[in-house]
Amino acid sequence: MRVKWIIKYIILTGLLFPLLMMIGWSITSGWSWPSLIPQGFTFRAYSYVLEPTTGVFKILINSMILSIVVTALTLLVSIPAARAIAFYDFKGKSVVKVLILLPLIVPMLTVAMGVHLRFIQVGLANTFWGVVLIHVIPGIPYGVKILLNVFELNGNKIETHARILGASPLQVIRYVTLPLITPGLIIAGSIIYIASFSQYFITFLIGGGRIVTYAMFLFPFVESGDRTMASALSIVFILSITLVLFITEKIVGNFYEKSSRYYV
Amino acid sequence: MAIIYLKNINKSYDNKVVLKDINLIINEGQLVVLLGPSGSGKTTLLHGIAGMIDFDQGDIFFGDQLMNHVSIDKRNAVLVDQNLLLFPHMTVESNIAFGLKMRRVKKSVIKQKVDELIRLLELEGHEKKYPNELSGGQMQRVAIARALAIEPEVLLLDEPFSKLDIMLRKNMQEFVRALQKKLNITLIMVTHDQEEALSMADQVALLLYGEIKQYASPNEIYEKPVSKEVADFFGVRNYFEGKIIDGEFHSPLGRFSTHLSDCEKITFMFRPEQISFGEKQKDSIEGIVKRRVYSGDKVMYTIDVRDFEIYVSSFIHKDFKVGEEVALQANFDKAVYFI
Repeated sequence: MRVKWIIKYIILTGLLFPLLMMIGWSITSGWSWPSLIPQGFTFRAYSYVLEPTTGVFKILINSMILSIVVTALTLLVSIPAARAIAFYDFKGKSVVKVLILLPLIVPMLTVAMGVHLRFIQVGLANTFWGVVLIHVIPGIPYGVKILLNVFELNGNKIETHARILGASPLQVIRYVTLPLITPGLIIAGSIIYIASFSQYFITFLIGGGRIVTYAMFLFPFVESGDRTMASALSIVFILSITLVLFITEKIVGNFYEKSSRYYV
Repeated sequence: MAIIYLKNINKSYDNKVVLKDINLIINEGQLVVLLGPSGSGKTTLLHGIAGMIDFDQGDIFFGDQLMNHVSIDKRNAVLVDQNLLLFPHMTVESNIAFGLKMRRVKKSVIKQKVDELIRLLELEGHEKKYPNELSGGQMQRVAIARALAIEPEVLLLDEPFSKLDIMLRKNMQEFVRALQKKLNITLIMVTHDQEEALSMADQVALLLYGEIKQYASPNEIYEKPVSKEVADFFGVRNYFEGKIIDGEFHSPLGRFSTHLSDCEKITFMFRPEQISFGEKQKDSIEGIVKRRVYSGDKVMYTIDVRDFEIYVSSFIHKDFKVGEEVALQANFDKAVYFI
């Protein structure tokens, strides 16, 4: 019991310590070795964040909208793909299963540079939708892989049963398939959202600097060594993600009755 | 009136014949059991009736309507799977209401119907519960209520009680049987349990290797099997072959008097419980106990008789030891025979 308790707190401290450091850094004017606590207090970084003229919140909101659109689009593509792989037999299925994971193996930079030329040709470069499309690519492996497992776990017998009871194919999707995969959708959606929200370089490349996301806004501060600013902005970054995940869980959970009742 | 008519049904998977020339007539309000060991094609037949699979050949009629190309959701033949497949994200009420909701029935009508079924299937107090909060028997009743809600032409049950423990199984068998009679619905049930089949069915269809070997009432199929295969399935273990000359049955086991007329080749069959131990006399068969298997209420003996093995089951109060000499009595006048 005692050992378990100690291990629990070691892990918890290990996870929270960097966060505490960051909070410390965000409110100090200087924190040099060997002092244990920050020297000098400043609210500089937070007043910058809260100051309307700096546009931090505008960028944050834009970035959130972008990532939400990316998440929705990725899931929209992933659901039918995962379902098809789970339930249908077709030629080259095992190859497709590997290809799906490719965006995780091939560096995104390579993909983005290849796609960039084509995007310029079709006029997608430097646009919102261009950035959305390039963000969808790294999200797909997560979406398809997670939902594939969910579909395989649920099986399609229960869907067939809904058909026997008189549901049309569309009604099956609405009343049976979607509610059953909701837990998987929340998990996959969260990962896709975080992946999109954290993208820096491909946004920069495809967006051409016109589409500014929060990660892009944050990066120069980290690079220039302004730790106070970088820490404060990072905290906002973490809070915004937590907020989105929390709201999603609440809304979806309530919409499809109690989420704890799912089998998956 | 025939409500379901299956005509020359054939089905194979990868060149393996699963169903072969199935012909079956099921009358309205009957409980028909498709009985057979696993792999006999009984579940395939049921899935075909429900519309989950297409048969390779043959026609299905409901009444006089050809159902071959009627899609699964329009067939009005509702299957209750052995895994029940209740919707885990819906309450008992919503599960039962599902079929009606999909048909866009008025809310007040749904409410009334659901309440009626909750009462009929004794699910009062569980309306707001989720499937994972119910016991096995309750889940079973919800699945049946969900199927009954849409007033199907025929209710199909696939091994409905196989996952319940023995006491609950007996209860549910009686419950379903009573419900079927009360509502006068047509019900087709698949099982591998002969006791279940015999105790519940109006008609039993025995399927072996994808063929219907006999379709008869429980009484008839048990008492008068039409072939050795059918007899084997219902527990006949002893077959005596021989011929009848002048009112005497001549067999390798000896001669026995019978009232049957002369014939060249005849096979008598006896269940283990149809042969009894007795005193040594004219018609008795003498042998030595070879094996003795105790099974609670009965003891199953294997008796060696001139290189033959005869199976006899006996109640416990007559106890014989292995190696003991015994005399057996078999009544050839009442026995079932094939010529």
